[in-house]
Amino acid sequence: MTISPVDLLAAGAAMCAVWMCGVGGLTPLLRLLGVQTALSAVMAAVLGATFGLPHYYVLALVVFAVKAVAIPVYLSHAATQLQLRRDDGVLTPTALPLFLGCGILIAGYFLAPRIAVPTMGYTGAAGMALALLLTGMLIMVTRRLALSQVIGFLVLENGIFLYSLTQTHGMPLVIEMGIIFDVLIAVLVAGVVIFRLNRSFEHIDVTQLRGLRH
Amino acid sequence: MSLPDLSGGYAPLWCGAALFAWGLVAILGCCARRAVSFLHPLLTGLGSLVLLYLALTGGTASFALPLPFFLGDAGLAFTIDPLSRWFLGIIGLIGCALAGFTPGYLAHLRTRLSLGFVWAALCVLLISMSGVVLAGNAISFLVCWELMALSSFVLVAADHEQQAIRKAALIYLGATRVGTAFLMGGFLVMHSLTGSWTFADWHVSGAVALLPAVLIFIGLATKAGCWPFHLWLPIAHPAAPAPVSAVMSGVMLKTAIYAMVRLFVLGDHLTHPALGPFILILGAISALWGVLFALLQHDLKRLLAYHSVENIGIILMGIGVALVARQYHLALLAQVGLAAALFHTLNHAVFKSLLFFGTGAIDAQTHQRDVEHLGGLIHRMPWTAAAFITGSAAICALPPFNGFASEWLLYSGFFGLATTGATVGLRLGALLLMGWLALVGALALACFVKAIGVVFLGLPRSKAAESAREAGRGMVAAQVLLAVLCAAFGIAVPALLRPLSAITAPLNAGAALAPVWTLPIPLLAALLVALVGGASLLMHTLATRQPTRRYITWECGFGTLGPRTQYSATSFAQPISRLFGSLYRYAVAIRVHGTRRRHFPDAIDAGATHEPYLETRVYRPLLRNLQRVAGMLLMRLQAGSIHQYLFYIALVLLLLLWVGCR
Repeated sequence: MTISPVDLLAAGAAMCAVWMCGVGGLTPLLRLLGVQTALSAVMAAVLGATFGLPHYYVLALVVFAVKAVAIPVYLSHAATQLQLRRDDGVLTPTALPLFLGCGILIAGYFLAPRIAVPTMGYTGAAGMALALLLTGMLIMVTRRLALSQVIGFLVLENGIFLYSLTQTHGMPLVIEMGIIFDVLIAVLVAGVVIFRLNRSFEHIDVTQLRGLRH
Repeated sequence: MSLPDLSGGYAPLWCGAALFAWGLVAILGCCARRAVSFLHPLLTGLGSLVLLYLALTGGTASFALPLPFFLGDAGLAFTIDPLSRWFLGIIGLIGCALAGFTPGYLAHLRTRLSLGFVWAALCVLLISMSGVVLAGNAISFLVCWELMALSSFVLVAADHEQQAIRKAALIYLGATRVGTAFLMGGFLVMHSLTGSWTFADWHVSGAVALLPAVLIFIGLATKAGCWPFHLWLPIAHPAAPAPVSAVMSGVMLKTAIYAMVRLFVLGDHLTHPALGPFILILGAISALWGVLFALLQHDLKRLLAYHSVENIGIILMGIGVALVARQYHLALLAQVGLAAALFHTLNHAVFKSLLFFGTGAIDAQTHQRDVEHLGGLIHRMPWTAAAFITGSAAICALPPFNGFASEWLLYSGFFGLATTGATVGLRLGALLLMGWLALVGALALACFVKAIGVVFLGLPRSKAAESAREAGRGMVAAQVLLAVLCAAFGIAVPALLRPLSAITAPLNAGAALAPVWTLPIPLLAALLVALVGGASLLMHTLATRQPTRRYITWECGFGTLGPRTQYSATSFAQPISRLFGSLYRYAVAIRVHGTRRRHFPDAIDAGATHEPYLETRVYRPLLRNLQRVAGMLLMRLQAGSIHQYLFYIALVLLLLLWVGCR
């Protein structure tokens, strides 16, 4: 397997995601999310340079501006408003998600040849994209606060973005923009819902939402 | 036919026109839920007329909708051939009668129902039924089938403010769900065997055909109301408004028959040697079971619902004869059997709709469906009575009405099997079934003698029946139209055998059916009319020539003769019910109140009870256990924890990944 800069960037993004599994504080969590998204934005730019596709630069710029800066800033604003600092998760051994994340990373590495598109040549990146997707899922499952579920969703979305970017020639710019816009709206809506949750229950702990069933 | 032939390119246009008319009513009804105008029946009738015209004149054609209307693997494709034209004709015919009957009937429900919405659902039902009989592939068929189930569910639940009706609608919904699940399973197996959704590409026979054939048959039998899947019929029909019952019983059940004929009988799509005897036996059981339970019913609509079970059984027997005869290479008998089934399908649609219309007219005038509270209506509602009696004669297969014609065909099929059958068992079985069918016919006759006697003759048993008036003009016109058709189809059999020959010809190397029909029905009918007319004239003259003396009836010294001294429905049916009592634990209980007064008790009650084994011993325990298990399982699965739900999503993701990477 040849290691290209694209593979390296993808691995960096996946590392960030695994790191996020073990982080409790919301501010470092959001920073890591920003870094991870910024890495994928850089990757878009690198791919644009490699294939000579100028619209990838635009994509990279928008991804950076919206997903790496605007969304984390908005979420950290929400955290400050709600006076939230930490989310230590639902599992009692707090390091367990970190280990699970490592397992996912290893699984991604070994599964990479089977899910990658061989003609594209970015086999490693495919595995890392898969790892990102599953890690995002893991973050959503193991966290306590509704805000962290939004973060997990964004990691998952990054995984899908990475896969589509490296394994296909990318989607047309219009569609990519549409997806980014969708994510932005989803995060805004989730923010509103979180604020409302907080107002109704004075907390946003989803483990305590079980009672709503009755 | 003298009408111009519209084969080929114009057929889709006619379908589109019918769709447009009915669709307009649907939109109109959804926009203005409560308001109805003359437009609703007019457009419904126009759409039905267009379809009827297409059925009478159109050739064969197939067409698919353009690209945006595309469902997964297969597009929305439709074909028109003689078989689907036959069923389109039935839909159009009943649709026309419906347009005449419904406004008058719905008038008495206008405070309880959203009338516009009922019209909308009715038109969606008509559209979807036409879609089912036109569908060219399994996907289009299922879409229309589901639309049909849902729109008819909405109609059953129209009067949903009563709890009994809500429950009935739910049971109906459950039954259709189960049926569709089986049907889908069968279609999926067929797709995996043939690799195509198009019916025309399906050719499966031998041992592999057993599984899809059984799945598809159960799915269709649930809709058709064949024993032992008939459970929903006697529950849903009394709950629905009368025109809805008429469409559901008259036409909607027949879409399942259509699918059986299309898949099992014509075109060698799905053949298995066990299928013919299986359908024949289930049909025979349905026929007897339906009529036996009908005898016990007091609710007119429940009674008619059980008669639907009986008639579906008769139709299935026709299909069974066709399948068995084809298996033994008796081509002519196969053709006769199928023709009998299809002819009876049309006839049942006509006379069952007529009977439901009659019941609806009585219900609208007296707000009463329990026969024990009716009586003497022949003087108060003469037109309805005449139409109802005609329909009853037809359903009891009395000549010269249409029920006789189709059952005669079925008898001749059995007779053929009994004389030319290959094995002794087959010949013996055919003889037995002939006797069985005769028994069913006799019991049906007893049942309708009971119904007519109690409802129309004698003295009224309630205030409502006493003050009944003839139904409105539209209602009477629709009933008279169907009654005339009952007689017309019974007399003009050769004309109807022509399209039937076109449908059934593939079974018999393209031969025509006409030589099979040797009975000179018009002559017999004329003879019958002359005989009855002459006898009544003779009696009339004899009676008027003698001096007559009017005097009160001697009542054996018991007191005044009143409505309560008449035969009741229960007492009329009792001897026969007692004969078959062990089949449903029939028991008559007589209770005497005030026994201390030995010879002069306060009151004596008599009542009959019965237990439908299938419901109480099979379905009820089954459903109860299913509910319990599902309750336990669902409590675990649906715990209300968001993390758990997210975990399910993760699991599915992993599963998909595993399947993809394998």
